[in-house]
Amino acid sequence: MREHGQPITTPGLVIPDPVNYDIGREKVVETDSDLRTEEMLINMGPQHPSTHGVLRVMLRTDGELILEATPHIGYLHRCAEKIGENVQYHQFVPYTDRFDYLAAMNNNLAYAMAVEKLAGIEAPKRAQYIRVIVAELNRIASHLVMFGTYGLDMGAFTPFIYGFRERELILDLFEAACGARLTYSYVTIGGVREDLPEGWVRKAGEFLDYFQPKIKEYNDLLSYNQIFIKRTANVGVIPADRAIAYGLSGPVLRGSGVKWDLRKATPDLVYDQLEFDICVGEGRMGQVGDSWDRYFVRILEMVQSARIVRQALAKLPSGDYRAKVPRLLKPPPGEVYYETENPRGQLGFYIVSDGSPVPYRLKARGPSFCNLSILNEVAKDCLLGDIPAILGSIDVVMGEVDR
Amino acid sequence: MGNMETVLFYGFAATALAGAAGVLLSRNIVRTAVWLLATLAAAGGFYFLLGASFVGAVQLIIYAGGTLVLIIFGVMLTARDPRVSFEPRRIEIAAGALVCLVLAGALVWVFLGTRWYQSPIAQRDGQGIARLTSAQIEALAPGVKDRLTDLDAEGTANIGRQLLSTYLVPFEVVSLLLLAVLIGAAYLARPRVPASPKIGSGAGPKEGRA
Amino acid sequence: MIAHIDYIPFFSWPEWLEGLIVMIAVYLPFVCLVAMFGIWWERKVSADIQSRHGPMRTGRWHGWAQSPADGLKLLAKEDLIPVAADRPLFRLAPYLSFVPAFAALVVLPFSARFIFVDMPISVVFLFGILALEVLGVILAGWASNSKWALYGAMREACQIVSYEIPLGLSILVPALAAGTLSLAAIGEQQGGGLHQWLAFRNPFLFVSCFVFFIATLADCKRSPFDLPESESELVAGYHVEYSGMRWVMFFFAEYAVMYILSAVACMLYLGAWYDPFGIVLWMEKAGYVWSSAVIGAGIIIVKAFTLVYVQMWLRWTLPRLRIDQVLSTCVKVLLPLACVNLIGAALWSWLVPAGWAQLAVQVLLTVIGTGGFLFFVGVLVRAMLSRRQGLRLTLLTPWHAIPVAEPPPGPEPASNG
Repeated sequence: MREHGQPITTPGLVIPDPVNYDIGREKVVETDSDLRTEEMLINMGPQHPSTHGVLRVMLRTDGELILEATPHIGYLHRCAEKIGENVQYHQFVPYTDRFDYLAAMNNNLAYAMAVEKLAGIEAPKRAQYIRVIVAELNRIASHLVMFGTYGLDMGAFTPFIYGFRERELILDLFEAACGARLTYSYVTIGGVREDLPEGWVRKAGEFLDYFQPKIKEYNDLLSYNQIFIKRTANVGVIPADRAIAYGLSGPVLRGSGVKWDLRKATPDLVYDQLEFDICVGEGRMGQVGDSWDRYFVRILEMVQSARIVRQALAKLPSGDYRAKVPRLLKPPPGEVYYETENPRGQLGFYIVSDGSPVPYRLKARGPSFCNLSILNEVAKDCLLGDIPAILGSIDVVMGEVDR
Repeated sequence: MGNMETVLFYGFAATALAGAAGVLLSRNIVRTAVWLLATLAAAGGFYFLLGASFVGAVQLIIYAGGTLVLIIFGVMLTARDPRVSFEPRRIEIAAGALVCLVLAGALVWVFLGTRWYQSPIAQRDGQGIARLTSAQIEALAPGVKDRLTDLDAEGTANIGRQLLSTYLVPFEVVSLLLLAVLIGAAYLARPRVPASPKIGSGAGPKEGRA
Repeated sequence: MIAHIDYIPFFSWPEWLEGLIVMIAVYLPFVCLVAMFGIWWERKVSADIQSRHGPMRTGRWHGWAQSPADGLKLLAKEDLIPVAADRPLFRLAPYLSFVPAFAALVVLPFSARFIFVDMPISVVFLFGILALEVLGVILAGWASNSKWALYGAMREACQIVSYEIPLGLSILVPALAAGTLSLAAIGEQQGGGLHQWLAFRNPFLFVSCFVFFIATLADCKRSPFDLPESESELVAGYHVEYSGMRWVMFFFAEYAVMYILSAVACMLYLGAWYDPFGIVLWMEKAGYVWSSAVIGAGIIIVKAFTLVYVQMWLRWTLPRLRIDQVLSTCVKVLLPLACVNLIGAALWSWLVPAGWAQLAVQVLLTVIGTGGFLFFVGVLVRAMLSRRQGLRLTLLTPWHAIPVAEPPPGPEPASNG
């Protein structure tokens, strides 16, 4: 009879201590100098202000110099993919909101387009334009969060407030469109859930007018600040070939100089009818592919997104906002893998359908998950104070990493 | 208990002795450093009591604010277990006791055999000694000026002048010693160049940064 | 008692008791008031920079009672000491941090008459007392028995000890130019107009003023050198395990040292308790002793808080430097600059005779300094005005004000938008 408080053990089963299994692997660093130093194991997170969510990074350091940085993830795992095998296609849309919760419109968009490809549904033109508008506005909002939190990581407290001030206006627009501020479930299979309210187009235009001079303000405040440049330039350099080898995407990839954007490479919505540039990192303040480049690519992308929204608002046609999609959607058996360009990278959905209303397998390729994989390689030979700079420039959202 | 000077003297003395005892008796190596702070601060207090404010302030800057910080650094960074205790062997205790007794005897003998200089002004005027100029000293205690050594003249300027005239050689020797310390520290702290530049930083060795 | 006093220990009992009462009744409340006002003002300044309002509710007017309310709350907090912490050291550390800040006030002159202890070497004494701050921080980091706290404490100790060198050299430079180590005496030489301020005495002093200010930023652990308290990296660094009144001690110490160092900067460089027009000096000479003293005290408090405002301004604008950048700034930039200033000021006071050449240089530097100051004030005013305007213009049209399109006549209701 097991006594109360006695742990349950299976004889012969060795359960490694998940918290402390790295301890004991510390080695003495033999160097040629007269001082023998020991490595130190530092645990950053899961509760830590600059790990952008519940991420645990196990750092092996020699003083301030990082020898190894191992991210431990899974703290935000909510079995979304398994749930996808149990709910119908329409019912899964709110779950996609919660992947990258800062860019919910884009997540909805990727899933909706994947299912539409699978089921052979075509969204009407107005729906496509509305999708582009809200996706790009959400890109601006997401990059504003990155801008603010990156400044916060670097110790500049003010850009955070400024970024969120602008983001509030975007969130007001979204609240008017769909009723929610963060997890919208607005872009659904076949189009968008509801039409835009009256006056929304005008307010969005006003927002863009208001937002235009703010980029210069952000550049003056943070981007060209000498201290910020000293903290981020030449820190965490990712060469282009390593970026491609690790499967990075989004601003992280473009910051390394690779001119790859899904919106231009495989234009699927109405992106081919809109003019915008792909922003790449040019090594303006340091090397190509350093943290400053990745940060500045996002600032430039905000400008481009504003440009896209303006054009889309002007070209917004009238018509249906949603195709006729059966309530119980039973796509024909088959599989589809569809990727879109999220603010954080390429979000892909691999859906296998067996003809029933419930997907057979639903897998999401989270861009932050792949982007985070480069942390160990990038963090070698960096100082401890560089870890927030690198993590912030990769801009992970744990909802996407863990799903 | 005529004035506060006596009270403060005994107070500082008790602090210094308690600090020294704490250094000796404490089991925790970091706490010994903190007891040392008490002793050093009390020594600074003595300097202030003697009217040598400059030396007292310098004691605080150099000893309490510099040397002690260095000691605490060394203690904290090299102590493996923060509560490591010393267990000396018996022969070590005996040898240490012998050395201490000899030293104490010598100090007491010197202490008792010295004729302590006491400022004639303080002898005369136990109540409130202001900072007097040479003319005032002459007026108060005629004929004593030629007996006054460096000890009574105007503090800081005098120290500076003496350092650069009478005690110039020790001053320069100390600066040479400090230079040797600087070079040794720079050598010990030199960066170790890794084998090849890694992906993490643009420049290989640490000095490429910042 | 509040007059020129030389050596306290030799006083008799009643005078010493009187001194103790003055310390408790005047200086302790002053430290507390400075700290509480500093905390409230920091929140207001930061809010203003961030387009917010800051405390508005506690106490009717702009939340002036926020600081006392916070103090009451912190008094009522549970006194937590981590289990594995070193209890005596944990308890000692906040006081080791606070007491030097409090003791440094003793030698700080508030005007020609309001000096508690006028030591002939008060500058060096101040420097020595403030050097004891480091110990409180190191012990706090160690006694918390947390790797993160220890990291913060070590970094902070490195930073403060390194920056003490340019700080000390920049204290020596005006002492050299004024010929005395006494704060009061240095202050007394700066009466009679803006050009008499020591910062404008010669170009080396001018540069040294900035070096001193940057070194005080590092000494107070303010941005951009606030690595020890870097909230986003080390989660408050060395005082992460402190809560309640113990944490209040650290906070008070920080704001008190901010004020003290700003006051010392004013005393050494920026005209002490004299106004730019020479009125206070005239009043002193004309015999209005007490009124000139009170006005002088007010002037120096205003000047010190102006520098505190600049410190806060910098904190909420600039990111923070990494520790190796902090130290390399000290050793590679500030230290050579401070040495050059010292040598230059010494050579200047030796070679340049007091006369029209010196006066011309003083006036020129005054013009440059005042011009820079007015430029910054102008930038500030313009920013304030345009921001208020901007906020009014950029409120998007409220929903109810957007005209609703008339539905076109026809069988079908028109689509929205």
